Amino acid sequence: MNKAKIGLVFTALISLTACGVEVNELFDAGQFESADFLENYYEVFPSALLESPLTKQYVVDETNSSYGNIFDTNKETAPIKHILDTDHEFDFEEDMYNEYNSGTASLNVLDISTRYFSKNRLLNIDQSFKYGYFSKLTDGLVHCDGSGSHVRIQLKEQGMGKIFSKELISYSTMLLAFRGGTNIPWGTTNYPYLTQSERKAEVLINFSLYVADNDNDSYNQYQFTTTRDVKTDDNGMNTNILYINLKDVLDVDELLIKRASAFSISYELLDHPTLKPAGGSPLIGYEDYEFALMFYELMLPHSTWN
Amino acid sequence: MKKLRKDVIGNMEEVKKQEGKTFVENNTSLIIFLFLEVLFFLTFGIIKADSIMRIIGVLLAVVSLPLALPLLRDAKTKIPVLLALGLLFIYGVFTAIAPMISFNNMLTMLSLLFAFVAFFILGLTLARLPEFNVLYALLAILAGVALLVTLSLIITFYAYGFLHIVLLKGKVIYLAGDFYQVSAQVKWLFGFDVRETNLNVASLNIGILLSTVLPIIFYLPKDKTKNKYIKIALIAIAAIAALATILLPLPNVLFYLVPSLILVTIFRFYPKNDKWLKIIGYVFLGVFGFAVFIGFLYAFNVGFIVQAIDAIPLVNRVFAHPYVGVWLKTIREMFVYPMGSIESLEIIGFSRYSYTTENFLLDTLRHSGIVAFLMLAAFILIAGKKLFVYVRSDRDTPLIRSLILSFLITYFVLIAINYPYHQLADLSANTRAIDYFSFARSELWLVSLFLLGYVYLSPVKQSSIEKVAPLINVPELEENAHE
Repeated sequence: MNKAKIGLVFTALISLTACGVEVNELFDAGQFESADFLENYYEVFPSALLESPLTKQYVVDETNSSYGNIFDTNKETAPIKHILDTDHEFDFEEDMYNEYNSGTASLNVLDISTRYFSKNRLLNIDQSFKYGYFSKLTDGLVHCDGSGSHVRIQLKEQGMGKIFSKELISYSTMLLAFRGGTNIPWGTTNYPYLTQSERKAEVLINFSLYVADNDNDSYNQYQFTTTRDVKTDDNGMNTNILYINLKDVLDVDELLIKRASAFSISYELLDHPTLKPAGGSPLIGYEDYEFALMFYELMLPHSTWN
Repeated sequence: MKKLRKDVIGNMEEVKKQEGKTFVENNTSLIIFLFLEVLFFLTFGIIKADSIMRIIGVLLAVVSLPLALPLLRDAKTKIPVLLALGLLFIYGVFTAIAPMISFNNMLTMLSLLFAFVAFFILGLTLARLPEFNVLYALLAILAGVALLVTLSLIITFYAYGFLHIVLLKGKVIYLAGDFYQVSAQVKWLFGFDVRETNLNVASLNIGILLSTVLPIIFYLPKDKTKNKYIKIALIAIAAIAALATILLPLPNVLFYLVPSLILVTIFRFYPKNDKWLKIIGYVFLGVFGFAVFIGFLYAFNVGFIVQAIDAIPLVNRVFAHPYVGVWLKTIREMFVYPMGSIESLEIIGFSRYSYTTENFLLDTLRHSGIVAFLMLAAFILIAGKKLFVYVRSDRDTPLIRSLILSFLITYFVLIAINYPYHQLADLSANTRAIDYFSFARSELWLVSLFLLGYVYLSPVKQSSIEKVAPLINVPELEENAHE
């Protein structure tokens, strides 16, 4: 009898330890790190999200969001100013807000931005965001820190999707950090330098939150759409920060995204002087150069998950 | 109940006897129990309050000091004991003030300053207590490691499955935005946290457990220990190690066991002093010392040495190996940072730029400077010789002596070649760790110091200790025994 019990415990232990729960998402070493731009796209988009119908769409524009460049250190126009102004409405980040508006001459705008992003990264809010490729978007690094492709995800227009292991319970704001990227060989004979017009691209970005519809075994998709000039100077240090007050955007629908458990992003390149499809005059032989959206961070500051 | 006059007088005499005893002698069981707990929690590391454990060790050493004082009064033991304590104290001072140790943490500094001496003293003093059985101390140490290994492996298998080191070779996973090779890591328990660590951590702990296998095979069946639970515990510890080696799998760890296997086998078949073995040992030591000397000269680019080494293809290949290259770099830099590297100040958030020599002596050279390195090297040489004297003595049973020999040799081989300085990620602190495995703060190092202290005075047989350095009131105790 005792032997049988011991056998059962041992079998249970063996079963438990043969799970491999953290290796569901495995990649080859060096994947997404290639010197060839075209090999670094991340294209995982769960079919459950692709097939989910668009329930409602919200336009994000200048009236209900702020948009800036991380390296804008002008105290009045820097993204962090708008972020702290908005956060302040919810009684969040009181200390940072006061510090920012204290009139201190030596205030380091970039330093306070870094502190804010590091504190409010999703990885800090819920440990479930520390696992998987998606954790590149939850680590608080909103721009390149010197480690190149380590910190961002390179996206095609079809984009990517991610189903979370938790549901969004409470929320106030949302932040996305991204930039444009190309494989144009700047500095060569045909492309000796970037012109001002080439340093940006007009891009239509769609990002969605999904709420599970258990009755129909599908998701309700709530999509946010915005058209922006995206920095495309191939400098990883320079990223755009889009910051949204969800209440301003959703208005009476604010509660619709409660229990959201998935996210996706896709885009359409509308205009760039050199790149297809809207490029004005691509040089012969260079038609195949591409634009990619380099996605650095997704934040839902002060959100709670269950 | 009416007390007889004889009883009252007997009680008074007992009290008088106790007044003459040291605190340790009056509370032997308590002190031993407390210390066994310290050993268990040090190796298990559940609290991960390494400073607290070190301080408890220091306090226990302070209360047991009266037992060590006779050793300092005796002419035969005075010099070797003072030498060892002096070396460890100076090593402790230079370690405590090293730049790699945070100056902001006074508790860590103070605990490091005294811990090395304290654990060595505990080994010296507890060895003199008749009530102390070192087998229980060994079991406490090994049980702590075994529990740590077992829990860590269950978590590892839960996360990565069995045989992940082989099956997932070349695959990476992402953690907190960074990628890690699955086959190069295991999950490990740190206090109440689980973190991702490199394989060296597993090798060190599993290697320590595996070191018990050969002594068990050679001596356990014939050992006079009547307590069957001790035997079961030792077999269970060896079984856990074997299972871990197979299921990860981690066959490389067997390589580190070779020296201890050889020495335990020699001890088994040549238990007495053998002139030829001694000569072979000294020759081996001489060759090793010569190689180290040449290594130092090569590191400093002494012309004729470099030319000589470059001319011998095999030796040249060894010195050109990246692994040895790191050792040479460390030696070269020793005069740049004579008090220890300031690397920790530069790499606070990016320890990936830091490096380890994977050798405890050279890491000491980098972290704590030249003086600490020299003191430690001298101590290891002296204590190493004492270990072999102990093995040839008749102090303990052959099982205990071979277990201690195997444990210490395996430990020092592992930390000489494969010291696990870094863990892969320290996600809870949001930075990569830089000091979690520094040798000075290693729990197993303290445990080894205790064992080295225990074996240090072996030439003085237990039966003759009282003659050399009498314990207070020992005659009375013996009289009582006769009555």
